[in-house]
Amino acid sequence: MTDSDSASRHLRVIRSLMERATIYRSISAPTALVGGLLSLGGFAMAYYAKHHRHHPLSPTEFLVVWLVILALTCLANVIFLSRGCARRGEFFFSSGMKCALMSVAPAFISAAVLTLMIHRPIELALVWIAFYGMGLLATQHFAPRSLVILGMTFFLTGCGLVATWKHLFLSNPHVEPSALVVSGIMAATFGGYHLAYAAVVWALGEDRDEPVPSTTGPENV
Amino acid sequence: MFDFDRLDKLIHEKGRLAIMTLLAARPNWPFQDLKAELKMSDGNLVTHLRALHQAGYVAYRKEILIRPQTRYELTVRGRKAFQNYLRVLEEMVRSAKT
Repeated sequence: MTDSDSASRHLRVIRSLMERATIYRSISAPTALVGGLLSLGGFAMAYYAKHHRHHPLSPTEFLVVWLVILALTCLANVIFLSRGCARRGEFFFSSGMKCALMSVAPAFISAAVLTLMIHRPIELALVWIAFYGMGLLATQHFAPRSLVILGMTFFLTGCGLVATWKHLFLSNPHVEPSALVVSGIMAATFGGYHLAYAAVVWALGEDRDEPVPSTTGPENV
Repeated sequence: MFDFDRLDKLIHEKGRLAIMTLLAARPNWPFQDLKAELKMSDGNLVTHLRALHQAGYVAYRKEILIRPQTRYELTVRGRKAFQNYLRVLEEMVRSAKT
């Protein structure tokens, strides 16, 4: 190996170590795909309830459907992240994971508390969309750009929907968007945005694991 | 001909280079996180950190939150030495290409 090769290799090691230390993807592309498809499934259930059961989803049913989707998506994320960690030889509860959890916790806990306090599907959807975006944005100092854009998109959509909802419905409290419409909003955001995110990550090859040379091997530099 | 004496020999060792790189990436690192990230033994990591500390590249502070822990960070001198090391490596690659 020439001196130039050795120097290039050193620079690659430094780069991959710095990226590993500074970039953490808290949502993998496969998780986004699963979450996106499950969200479309949530809309399908609302559609079925209205047009085939002839009884739209009640607010409680709406809540249960989307909490189940959340639980399944979280489970998928744990599985995919742990597989990725195993492939790279990292611990699941890495420092990046701890940073991500600490960053998203305030927004996600706030959303959970608000979920206990409100009952109308439209209000739940707006809270979830905006706070989910806020949670993702809180990881912007170490998240890849695609995840930051996803967070920003959710946040702006949430704010926009709140403004629209206030304009359209708060002036007339008797008008309430149906569970099907709200499920459509959820499917468009949690479904559509996550599918687009997964497609972008795969298209750009951002999900590929960079091999990080061992720092404890017998080979010395 | 490239002058290899310009490479900082203290940093130009795999373990210490990895430590300096991680410390350059974040403001500070708890000992346990460094150990987990680098997959080094306690003794090995302590030895490298001590060498870097003695050279004035690394500072540490002990704190007690839930349990006692030691946090490590690059000193100004350490950050300059690391930047200089990177610059020399880049020059090495560039000089080989020309």
